[in-house]
Amino acid sequence: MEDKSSAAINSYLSFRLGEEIFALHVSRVQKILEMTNITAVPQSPDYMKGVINLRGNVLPVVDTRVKFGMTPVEAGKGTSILVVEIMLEGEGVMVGLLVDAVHSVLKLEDEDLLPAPRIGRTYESKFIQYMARVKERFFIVLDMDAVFSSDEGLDLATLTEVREQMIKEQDVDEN
Amino acid sequence: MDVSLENFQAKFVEEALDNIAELEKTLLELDLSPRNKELLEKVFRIMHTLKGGGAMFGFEQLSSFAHDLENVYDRIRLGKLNVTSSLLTLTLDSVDLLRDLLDHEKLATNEMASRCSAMLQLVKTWFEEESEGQKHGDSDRGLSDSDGGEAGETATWYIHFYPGKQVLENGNNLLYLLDDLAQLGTLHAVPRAIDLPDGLEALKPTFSYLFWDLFLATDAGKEAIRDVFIFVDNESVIEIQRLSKSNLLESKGFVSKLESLCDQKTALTLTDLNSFVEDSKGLTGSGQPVFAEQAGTGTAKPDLGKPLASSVRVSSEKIDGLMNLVSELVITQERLNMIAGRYQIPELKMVTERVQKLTGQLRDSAFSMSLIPLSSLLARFQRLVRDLGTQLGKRVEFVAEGAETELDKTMIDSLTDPLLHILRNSLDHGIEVPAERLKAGKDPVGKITLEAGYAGANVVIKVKDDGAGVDEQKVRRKALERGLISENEVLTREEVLQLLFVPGFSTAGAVTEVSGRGVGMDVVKRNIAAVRGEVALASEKGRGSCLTITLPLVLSIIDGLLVRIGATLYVLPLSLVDRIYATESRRLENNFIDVLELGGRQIPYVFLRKEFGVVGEVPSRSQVVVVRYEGHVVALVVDQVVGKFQAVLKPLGKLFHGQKMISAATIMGDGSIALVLDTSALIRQVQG
Repeated sequence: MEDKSSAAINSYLSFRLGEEIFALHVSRVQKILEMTNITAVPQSPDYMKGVINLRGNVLPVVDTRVKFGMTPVEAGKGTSILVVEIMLEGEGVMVGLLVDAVHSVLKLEDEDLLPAPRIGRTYESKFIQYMARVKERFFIVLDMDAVFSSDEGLDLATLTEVREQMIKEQDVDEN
Repeated sequence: MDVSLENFQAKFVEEALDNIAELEKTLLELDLSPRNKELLEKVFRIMHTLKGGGAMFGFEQLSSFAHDLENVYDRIRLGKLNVTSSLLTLTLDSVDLLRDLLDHEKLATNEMASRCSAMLQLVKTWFEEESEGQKHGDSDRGLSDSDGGEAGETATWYIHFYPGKQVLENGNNLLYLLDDLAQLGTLHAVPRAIDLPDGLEALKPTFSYLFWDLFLATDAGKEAIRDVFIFVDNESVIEIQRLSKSNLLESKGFVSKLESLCDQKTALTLTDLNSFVEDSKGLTGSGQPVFAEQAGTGTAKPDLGKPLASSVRVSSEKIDGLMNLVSELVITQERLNMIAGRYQIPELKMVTERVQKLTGQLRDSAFSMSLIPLSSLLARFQRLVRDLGTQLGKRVEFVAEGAETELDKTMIDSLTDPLLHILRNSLDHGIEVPAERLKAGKDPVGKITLEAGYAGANVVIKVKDDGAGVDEQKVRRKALERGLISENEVLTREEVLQLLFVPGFSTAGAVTEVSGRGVGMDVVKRNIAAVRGEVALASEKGRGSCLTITLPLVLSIIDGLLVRIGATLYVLPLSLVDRIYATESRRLENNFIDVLELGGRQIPYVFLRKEFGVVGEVPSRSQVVVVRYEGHVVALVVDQVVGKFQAVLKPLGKLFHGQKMISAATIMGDGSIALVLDTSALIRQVQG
């Protein structure tokens, strides 16, 4: 049932980390919370910001910026926590993603979604589910399961590079 | 259809496992009182149930194996054979096989088939030998069944079988029943239908409209025939009568008359049969028509059924679900208390107190539901002691006290292996062989006692033996060999005993099959620590050892001590807290050996602020919580002790898989989160 509905919906939630825009399929996003007090857990990885109380359950919160190799999130007006469900070792796990700002909900048709570029050397490309084209701009639609099945951080610079590469290739195709 | 069969199969497996566990227990009891008729009957009954169920749900091997064992116990039940120790050993071995026969994956292997046939051969051999040896006992037992129900001679039986309309709903396959009957001898079945509704619309597909007139020529007795119907006899009508002491089905005349009878619409009556038998008597010449009275009343009583249990089976998921809800409620309750305290409205206060009381009661009864008595493990322990004792040539009596003590089911699960290991150790290293015991002036029969009981919010389990005790010299030598201690190290007896729990230590001279398989007491200790339990060993040379396990009563809620470090609240398990002191923080500043003098004692400490990398100003006075850790105490320095707190434990989740020191989180009344510290893991990490 869920498969059917999530396949039919073509909305994506985009969010901002620094200057970069990323997107997630809306079916993955359970809710969006305002920034709240986060209880830090000592001796955990840098990108694990801590835990919060989500309706009586303990929700781990990830500093997405740190996970992506950027400086830690500084709580500001736009700072939000996206509650998303990811698959970890075959099990659904809820996690909060700390992001600089929630951007918008995009409607993306199939033809706007380009497969992840197969640039072999960049290990980052496996975290990219699609490249989405919106008005001549490219967003990275993230594969959250892949992002979290690795303990390591991602390198934003490489992700951006991959995107630039895509744009170039597209230009070549169109000319 | 397939799905429902699988459902029934799963149900059957579940029940069969229960039955097998019961069987194991009964066999062990039987070992103590081999002449107890009731126990024998129980063994027989369980075998029978396994056989019947196994055949019905597609566990052919299980069924046929149980059948053979049932035969043996049938003979014993009838007084033709005696219970011997060798038989019990054999049967107990079979119990393991029976369990494996329920496992589809194992069933598929060749090894299983060979094991099964090897076991069957053993049973057969035993049966033959014993029948030979015990034969003389046979003669003084007369045949008791007056209605000719005794097995042995061929007779022709008439069976009227009406299974009732609802029989299909229980998943009974009636054809299996007929198959079972046919296996007893030659079967001639005349199927009939009754009360057929008019038209297909009225016909309910889930109803059975059939009944049978069955003619069976067999040398099995009446009991054997009745036993075939053991699973349906609740709702069915079964009449079993003997027609003749010969095989009527061999006579052509009888068969042809039977066939002509099939065309008649009416049900058979006794007079119909009478004429039959008279006719056939003429034909066979030798047949003696014997009419037994009707076997019991029309509806058979479920005489072999279990006594009605005053309990229901609930899946553990449902219990877990309930526990989660109760935990939520406890948290919400805290919140309500806080709000009520803030507003001081008398009516609100009254309601809050009432709700608090109810929540407490609900919590207690929900928790009691997930508790299982320790006695559920006893059969396995008794079994181990018996098997191992025999194997090692030691005579051991196993006594359990306080087995009614209840523990959380997850705790029971994680206790099983450690306890088995401890018992194995006691048997292998503790209890001496009889000759040695006699020499030491002890009873040649050793004694292992399992004691369980409550102590405050804990459950204490003790395993005592009156064996040789721990040999300090031997332990020292071994520890030296393994490089665990140095040559001149002075150790108290306590410290020597602690060596037994060090990884890689095993006192067994040679690696025996029993213990010392590389798995040592360190694993026991670790497993018990995983459920927040503690292990302590006391031992006196020549007198025996006593191993004490202390466990928290429930796993999901703990009594804690709430402390603050920086801005974060932490919960320490109250059961481990020894004492609380205050100290000037500067005493910690230039302390190079990390030891504080508290209450006249030198106590090593861990400065949690530093350990957790908390930034910010250190308060001028800190508080020190002294906790117990592996037989000594360690001081944990925190900013402030807040007070006692009942913590509902919430897992931190997979993303914190590397986190060992924080065992869980808990939600406070105001919705904020406190972290639950596993002090032992913390100290281990700091000191290691």
